Amino acid sequence: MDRSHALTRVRTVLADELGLPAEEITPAANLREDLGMDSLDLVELVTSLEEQVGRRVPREQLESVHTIDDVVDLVLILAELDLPDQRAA
Amino acid sequence: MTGDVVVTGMGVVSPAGVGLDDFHAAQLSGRSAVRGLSRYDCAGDPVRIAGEVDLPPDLTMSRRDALRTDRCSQLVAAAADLAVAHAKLDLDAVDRTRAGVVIGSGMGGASTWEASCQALQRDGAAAVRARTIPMSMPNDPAASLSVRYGTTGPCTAVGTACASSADALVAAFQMIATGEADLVLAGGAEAPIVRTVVIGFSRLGALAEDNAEPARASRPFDAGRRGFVIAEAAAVLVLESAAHAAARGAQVHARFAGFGRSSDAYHTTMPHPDGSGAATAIMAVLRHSGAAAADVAFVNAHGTGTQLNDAAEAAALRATLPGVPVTATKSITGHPLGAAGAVEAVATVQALAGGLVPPTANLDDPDPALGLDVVCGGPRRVSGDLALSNSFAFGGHNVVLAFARAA
Repeated sequence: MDRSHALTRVRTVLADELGLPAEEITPAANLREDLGMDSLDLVELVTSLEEQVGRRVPREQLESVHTIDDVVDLVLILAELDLPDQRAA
Repeated sequence: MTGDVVVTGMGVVSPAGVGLDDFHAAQLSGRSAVRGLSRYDCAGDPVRIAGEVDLPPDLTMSRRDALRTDRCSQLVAAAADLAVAHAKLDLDAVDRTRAGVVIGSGMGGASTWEASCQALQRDGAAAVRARTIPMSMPNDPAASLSVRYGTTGPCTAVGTACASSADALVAAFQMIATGEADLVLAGGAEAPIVRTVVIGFSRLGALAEDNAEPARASRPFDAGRRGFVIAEAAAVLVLESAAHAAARGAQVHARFAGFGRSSDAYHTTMPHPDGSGAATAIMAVLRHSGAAAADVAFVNAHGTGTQLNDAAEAAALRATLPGVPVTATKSITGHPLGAAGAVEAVATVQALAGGLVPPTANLDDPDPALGLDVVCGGPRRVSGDLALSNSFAFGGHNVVLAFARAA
């Protein structure tokens, strides 16, 4: 999975399951300030992504998740891809 | 009197109309709004009829909000918006610390709960939504209204099955009468058109199964009654102290004259067959409102259309208010369980204000054993300034409300 693939997954979950407008889901968007998400929205987003990749994220790891880019990082970690290489690619 | 509690606004979303005008017209038409059940696939189930609400687009939540809110809380938000508008209530102009909320619901967010149980069974723990609890808890309709309007006074929920919202109105009355609050958004919400709930009531033998003739299925007080028809609805009343209403120049639609309550102490699902619990509550409401039996212009009956309820209720009415005109809103709306008391409070206030009691639908063959004067065939003009609304519930809860015509 590459970054754009991961972003598409995140965008799909947010639009389909949480009803967020797809056009607002940009990599730099802040989950709380730009997208109006609360902590339960984040848990529902991550739960759905966990289900897709079949792995769990330690909940304390969510504390450092602030933007869509951070969520994409999380998806790539879950998919066990080497994050720096993916960013470089 | 300055200590009075008055109704300054009402909002209703029901199978028989959304908003006061449509709801009132539907009452007077005497036509049942029960129809084929469409909220889930019920093919092959014993019950395939219900009273369903069609929310217009302007009262429908955005998809985003709807995904985070059970239907029960969606319905109450719509009813409350209508009530606040009807009351011309500017919440920025009142002391929010003295504004309260009480909402009754029998089932709360039943559809969310059912969906989570199904997801758990099908796909395991990870499939259960994080919002399962907040969306299904029975106090969410009340709590979500407090958030919606920024009221920071007392906010609570009542769960006494089909008497829930009548009890909620009592709780609001008490908040105002004891000086805890100046105004309260009070009422009920129910969204029970959920397969587990419908089948659960069906297994009790409580539901009519006239699937081929939905509009004929709800037949309170008829000799051919075969059970109630489940419905969804919400209604909210803006209740205020008379002094608060006068100070902000609010129009008073009725005075909430009093309440009477009792418990059957008999059985979970069967009313006491002699109606003594209901009769006790009717006597109590007369005492509390300082009225005599002869003052009662009409009674909005609990009138569910089950054999047992209608027989026990009729016994209570014969014993306490012989000859009083009776009408059964559930013949038109179906039975919205915990929301029924508030929906019927709205119907009662409307009938009292217009002096016109709506007919009971489907009363083709009035049960002679009941000995009641049930209004049917068309609206009936009545004089008198006081009307009662009965709500009885599984658990043996009996709640009777009294409303008086605005002075």
